Amino acid sequence: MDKGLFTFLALLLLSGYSAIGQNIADTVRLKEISILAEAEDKKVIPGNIYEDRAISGLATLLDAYTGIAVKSYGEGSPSTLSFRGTTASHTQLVWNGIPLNLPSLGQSDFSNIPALFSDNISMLPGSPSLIYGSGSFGGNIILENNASWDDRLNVKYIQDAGSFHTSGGYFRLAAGNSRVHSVSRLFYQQSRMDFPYVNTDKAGNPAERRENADYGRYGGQQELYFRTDNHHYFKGILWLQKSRHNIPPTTVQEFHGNKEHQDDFAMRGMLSWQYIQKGRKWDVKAGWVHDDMHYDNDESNLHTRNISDSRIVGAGLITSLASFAGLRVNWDNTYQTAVSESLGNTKSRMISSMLATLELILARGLEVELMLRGEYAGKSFSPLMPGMELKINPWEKSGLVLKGSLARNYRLPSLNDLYWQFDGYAKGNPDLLPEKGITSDLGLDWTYGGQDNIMVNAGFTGFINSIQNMIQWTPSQAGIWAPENVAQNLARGLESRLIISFTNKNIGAGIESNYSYTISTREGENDPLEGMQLIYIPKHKANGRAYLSAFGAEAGYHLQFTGIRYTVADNSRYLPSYILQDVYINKSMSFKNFRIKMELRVNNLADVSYQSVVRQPMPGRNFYISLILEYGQKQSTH
Amino acid sequence: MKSGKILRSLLFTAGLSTAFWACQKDNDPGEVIQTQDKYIYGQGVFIVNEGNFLQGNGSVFFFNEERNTLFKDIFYTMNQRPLGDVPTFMGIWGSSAYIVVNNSSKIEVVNKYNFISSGTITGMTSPRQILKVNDSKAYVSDLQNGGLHVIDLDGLKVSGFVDLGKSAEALVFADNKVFAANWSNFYVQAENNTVQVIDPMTDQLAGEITVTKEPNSMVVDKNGKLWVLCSGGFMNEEIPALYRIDPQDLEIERKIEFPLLESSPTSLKAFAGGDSLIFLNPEVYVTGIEDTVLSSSPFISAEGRFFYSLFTDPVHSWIYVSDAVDFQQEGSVLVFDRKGRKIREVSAGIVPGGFCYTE
Repeated sequence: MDKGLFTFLALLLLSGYSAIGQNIADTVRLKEISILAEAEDKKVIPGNIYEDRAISGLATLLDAYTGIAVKSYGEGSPSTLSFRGTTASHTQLVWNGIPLNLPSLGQSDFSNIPALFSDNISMLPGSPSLIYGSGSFGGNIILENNASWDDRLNVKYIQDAGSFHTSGGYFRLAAGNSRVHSVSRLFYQQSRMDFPYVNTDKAGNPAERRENADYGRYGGQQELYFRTDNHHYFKGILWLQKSRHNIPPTTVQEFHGNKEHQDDFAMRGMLSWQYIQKGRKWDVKAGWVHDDMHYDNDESNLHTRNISDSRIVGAGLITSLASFAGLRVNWDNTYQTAVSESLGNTKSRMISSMLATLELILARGLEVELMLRGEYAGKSFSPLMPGMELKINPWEKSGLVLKGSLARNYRLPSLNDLYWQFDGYAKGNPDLLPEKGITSDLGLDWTYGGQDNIMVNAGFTGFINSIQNMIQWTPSQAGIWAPENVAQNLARGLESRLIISFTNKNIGAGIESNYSYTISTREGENDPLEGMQLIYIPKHKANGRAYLSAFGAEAGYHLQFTGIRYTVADNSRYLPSYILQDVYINKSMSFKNFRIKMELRVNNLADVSYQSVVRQPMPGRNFYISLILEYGQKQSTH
Repeated sequence: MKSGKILRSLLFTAGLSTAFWACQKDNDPGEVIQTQDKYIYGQGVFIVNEGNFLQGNGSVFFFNEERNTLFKDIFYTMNQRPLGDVPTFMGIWGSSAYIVVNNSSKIEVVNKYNFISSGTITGMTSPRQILKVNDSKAYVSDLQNGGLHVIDLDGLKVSGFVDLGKSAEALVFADNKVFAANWSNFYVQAENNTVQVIDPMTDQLAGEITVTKEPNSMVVDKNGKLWVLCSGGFMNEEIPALYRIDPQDLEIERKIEFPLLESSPTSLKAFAGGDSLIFLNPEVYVTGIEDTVLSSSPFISAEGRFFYSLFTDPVHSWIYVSDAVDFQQEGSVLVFDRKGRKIREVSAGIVPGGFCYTE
């Protein structure tokens, strides 16, 4: 194969495009591409963190193992993410190429995403997120599913049980041959989450139990994959999920027995077809995302329902222009609707988006990707969004890579921002402008591996993100709340990571650590909040993990530090920092095609009292036990 | 050789982790607040700051006029715990101050001289205002219950309920009767264009006066007449109006309509002496009790500020206007003399919404 083409395809894939092509072994050398993609641009959450845990929610994982700031109302309750000092609306959740953020709110609830429904969880911070769409000033969280063609039959069952009447179950059945593959998944999670805590906000610091914090969710996902010898690859996935979470009172409220709660139903479906031929990859996809949320509060006689739908079709082409250049063009058309009483009925909009990228290998070890996205939404065009990514790798054997990116980005207002119907207190603003952002980063990455069974990866990245026309709901003189393009934000900081692992025949050990330093402030000479750190964005966040495995047993330790977080825009109040520590030990045993594994985990080992959101207590020390049963048969080798 | 280094690194990490554990104290996980170390009583004004809904950052500030000193978050300072979620009202009778904390469903009772808690009244859903009706009894209006809670002031507990069939907000005492303004129909589905009359001797509903939608505030003038300010409805359904009512026979004596349907007047107060009234719309307006037409020009202009609440003190007849800024940060209180000249500006907490004066 032409080396330039290979490199070009590899770069396109690692830039965030679906790595579906990896399954066509005679067209591209897939394995190398996949490894590059994981090790470089997309920072992947290690699969071994969550693959055997039925109870893991995505928000908890991201909080524990990345530098992303997570604002959580408690395990099982709504959680939003903040990437690189931006807000929750600036993080897009992408599932197999389909964006999942609600068009009404412009955000996703990451507590409601079961980690085990994805084969690959990665995060794509900064400018390269432009490849998946507009508006992700912070970055993207990317969930992907792919066939495991090597498996003829694989059956897996996980049962989790733990403190506070928490349990979770997960079942996966994968079967197929070299052409057709099916994966079926089922899960449930439930908990009373009635943990004890000392309420320091009440007189006498009474010992209380968390009330009305129980939750339950269950769902299923069916995946079908089909490929032909002549380079066609089909993929279809349907994901259905129901959940209910009760809404507990804060530490300064009395519980009256009112079962305030929210019910969610979600349906996500996607179909894609890819055709890979000499130097080209054609791609067509369609998706439908449906969310139906009911909120009920009998005591206050409040009952609301919000329905959101996004229907997406798209097509793309990646092609080689020369041995040193490649082109990608991509088109997506999304039809968004939101139905709720608050919007007066149904509000909708069409968004058409075009992307073109040009990949150039300028010299040995010097690569650049130029990006340009254009978007037509409603009745107007957003300004063009150009971007570039640079990678310099002058000494191939050194493992040292210098990377940088720069992009201009725009985020469309949500449908609530635009069309909230006047209810006496608030109203939307159809004249809102898109938020405008400039994202940039520069980083150095060093990887050492292949000798002495030791792998080392270290890197640090500095970033600067600027947002103008930031949308904020503010009251008018008449006391009516409405969104306006009033605020400016400047986020800058540093991220670093270190991974060291050692593997031998029967033993392994490693440490991993992440640290992020984030200054994210309001800007503008006329802004009385100029220089104030945005609320719920810690300046310091760090986590580390160490593990030791030998002869099928593993013990691990995890530490997470979250710095102070301001809770009020003028920074007059803050939540104190906290350190959480978890430990686990597990043992796996295999008998021919069977595997059995048991794990014991202790979370919050030091029983630290902490809050992620003000007046919302979090659980102290808690215990989990997991049982994993797996049966697998591999395809017979040709 | 390198394997040994890795293992040493792991041991170091484990040791470091143990050190972290040893240093970690099970201390207060709650919000850290900048407070002063004392509270000194004197003649002055208490500022009740509502804070943000569900954030539990409501507070009480005190401006001591004698010392010309502001004391911030005095409930937290003196009791080492937050006041609660959305305090809306404060009343002082004798040495006790009663702070109604709406979304914490409680009333905190403190000694006004040291602000140390002497008890908490619970058992309500969404309390809004409190009115003492005799030495041992008070009424509390509730946004989510169709009536008034009866409070035993000696036992600091709810002792009964006056069923009104409607939610009430403002409470005033006139002609030995209690008048309750039925401001909201959001939670309790009933007409919200009435003022109900309660006999405090029997705790029974004794009458009802129909006014314009959303009567939000009431005062009694020097002649003992009841004045009721109605905003006309949050969807601007009716023209806002100011009513004068005879509390004896419950007759409406005067109705003054505002010029604009879109107006939303609030915070009706009476100057000391009771010969003039003052309210927000959304700037500060003043009207005499004999006027039949409302002034078309503001007495105090907002000049870009967000005037949220209004108060006049009984000693100087000074005017206190709170500026809630954008509701996301600490606000301020502007103080004007009776002629509308600015005297001072003092800091306030988040969403300053209520006042209470002490001599």
